[in-house]
Amino acid sequence: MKKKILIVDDEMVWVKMLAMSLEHEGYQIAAAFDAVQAMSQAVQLKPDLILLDIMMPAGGGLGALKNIRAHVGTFSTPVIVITAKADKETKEAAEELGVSGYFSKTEDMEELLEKIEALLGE
Amino acid sequence: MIELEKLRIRDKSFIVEARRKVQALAQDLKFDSLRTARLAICASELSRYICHYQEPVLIMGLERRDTDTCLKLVFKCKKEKPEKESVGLKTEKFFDGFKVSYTAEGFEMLEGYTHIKDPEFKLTQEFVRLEKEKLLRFSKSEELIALLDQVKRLSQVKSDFVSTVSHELRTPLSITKLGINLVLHRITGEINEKQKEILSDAKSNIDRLAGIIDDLLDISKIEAGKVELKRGWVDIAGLIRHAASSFKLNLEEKNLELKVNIPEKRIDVYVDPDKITQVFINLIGNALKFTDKGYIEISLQERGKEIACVVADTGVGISEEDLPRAFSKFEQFGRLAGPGEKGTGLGLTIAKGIIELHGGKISLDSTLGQGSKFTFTLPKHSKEDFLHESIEKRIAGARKENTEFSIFIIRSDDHLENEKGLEEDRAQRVFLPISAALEKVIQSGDCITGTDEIIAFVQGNKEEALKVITRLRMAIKAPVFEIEEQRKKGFSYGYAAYPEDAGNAKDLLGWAYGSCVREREAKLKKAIMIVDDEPEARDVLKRILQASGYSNFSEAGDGQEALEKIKTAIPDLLILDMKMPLMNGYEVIGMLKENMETKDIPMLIMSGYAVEIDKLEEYVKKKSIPVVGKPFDVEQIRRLTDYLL
Repeated sequence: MKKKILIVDDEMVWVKMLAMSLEHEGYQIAAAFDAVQAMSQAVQLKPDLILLDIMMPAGGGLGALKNIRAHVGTFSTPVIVITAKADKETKEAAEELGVSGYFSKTEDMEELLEKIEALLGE
Repeated sequence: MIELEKLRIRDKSFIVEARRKVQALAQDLKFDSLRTARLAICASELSRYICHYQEPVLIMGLERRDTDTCLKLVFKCKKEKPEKESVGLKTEKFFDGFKVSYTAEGFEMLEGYTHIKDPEFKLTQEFVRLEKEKLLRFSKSEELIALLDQVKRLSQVKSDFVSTVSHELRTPLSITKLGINLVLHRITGEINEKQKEILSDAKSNIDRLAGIIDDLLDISKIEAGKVELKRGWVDIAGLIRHAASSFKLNLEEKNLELKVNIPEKRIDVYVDPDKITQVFINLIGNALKFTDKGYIEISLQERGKEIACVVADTGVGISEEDLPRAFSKFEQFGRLAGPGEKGTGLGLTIAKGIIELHGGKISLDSTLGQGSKFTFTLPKHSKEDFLHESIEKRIAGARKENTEFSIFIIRSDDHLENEKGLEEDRAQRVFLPISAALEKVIQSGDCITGTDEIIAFVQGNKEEALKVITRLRMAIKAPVFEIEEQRKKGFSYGYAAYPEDAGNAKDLLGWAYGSCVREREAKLKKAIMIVDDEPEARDVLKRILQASGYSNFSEAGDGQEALEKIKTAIPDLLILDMKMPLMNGYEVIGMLKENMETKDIPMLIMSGYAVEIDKLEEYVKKKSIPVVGKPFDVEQIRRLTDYLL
């Protein structure tokens, strides 16, 4: 069965490209562009992995992570956080909530694919 | 004077509060760290002074003197007899002006002011405006405080600038590259050869742009002083060979010879390996670019307190007039990049920056048509010097910011026997796992290795630091135990606090070493209870432990006796034989575990029957008590005892 990945990021171009790459690798993709959408998608879809942009405006990134961790259906879903220029406090707060990996938009796609593969098996 | 804040120094804890508030205010007013530290110390001392009397109060504010705005601190207390001129505290000299006065109501006022260096005159202007508009009658000026906040925020933004630029430049590049890859890898559909070719060219230019951005960023970070060197002890000879090997193919392509002239032995320098590798890559890459025939030679020499490296080539060389500009970023940018090259020409500038950050120097010798020779030096620290230097640096930093810290030291007992200390790479093998364990609790920059010891820096006052040190001890228990098993040598632990225990590096280290000895002595005094029905067995065990220095023993011949004795005096370690008449080991353990007071006594159990060991393992696995078989291994007993205590 195809593994489901939910991408949460407010940068639509990036989401579009990421979705294309991941679908090519055989994953089923859903996207959300803010914290609210993220929650409703997560609850509906029950993804196997969430890619979350921690730097969404108005604290949306951390907020989404908090909600995900607080909800009974998603609290144990692995989350890879897209950081890059997050400050120390945000990173620490994310750590505390529970994060399965980090990825920066400036890294190569191969790195992200490896991380996803490692988390989702096969 | 505009009053910004009033603080009643009700008791000693308020002295710390006073210091903190003054420090924060000084920082907001953009005082440099030395002045801030001094003001904080003044606040501390003077608050302490007034705390002895009645109604001690500290008032912080701003005052206009001539054309300047000054920070004013007023320490007030109710006192019967006034002091004559000064209260005899050194800190008075830290102020630009200080005055002691006595009011009619019986209050002693200690007033000190310090000029605020206000280059943009913003504060002063604000002040003048407030004065003019007679706003000085209000005890707090909210606008002034808002201004202070703004100044604080601006400086934060400036320091984030470098990293923000980096991110903003790189992200669109990444996205573009991702897009190109999607098409190139045919994920969006089939493409023809022409499209493939053009997209590949586009992609390599993206890489080129990324390289340029990285170079620019390196340079601006180096210049802004925002590069943090991740130093460690590195075998420089090995590093050079490694860097050179990555150019093997390129050299073969151009039919160039690589001469590596470095000593066979291991030479350790305290540098950031990634950055120094970058230096060599830049220098060798540079030589490669401009040499079409002959050779590139890398040599390394030890010269007393420094090491000298030379990268020479038989390339086109640089003319005399161009020589002084070789390291200049302005002159080189874009120039040296030929067709298809992804250089910015900044390689040499970056190399120079890195070398200078490490405290070294780089120079260039060249003859047009014959070749070039780059020579650079790096300081060579002895491990002792380095240890002292690192501690002194910490002390300087703590003095500036008026903070405290402690050092926690893990020392190999080898030092007692081996004057030269551990050999370099044995030290690596021994200390590496320990520092890895330490770094899980504290940050990696806070851990340094000497010849015989590791030192961890822990921030905070003695009390706070001790809490962290306890965690550090727990963290290293396992790796230390393993190392002691392999090397058959023990470790000692100690700590010292700055400034409470000592004020300079030498004394601080001395104190820490002393504390190692004291700890060892305290450990040897711990009470060990040996429970075994055979008196000979008890004797043998006692003698083994006495050889290690332990002297506080109590004994019991059976379970019952043991429990009785434990009721009166709880031992620090219990060594228990399992098979005994009356009450056997299991029962003893069971009884002890049920009682709150005795359930945590460290235990070591002995058993002579192979069969029982299996039975015990189950038990032991659940309750994590180490087992030794009888007849026992002397070394094992000693190590386990050491470990458990």
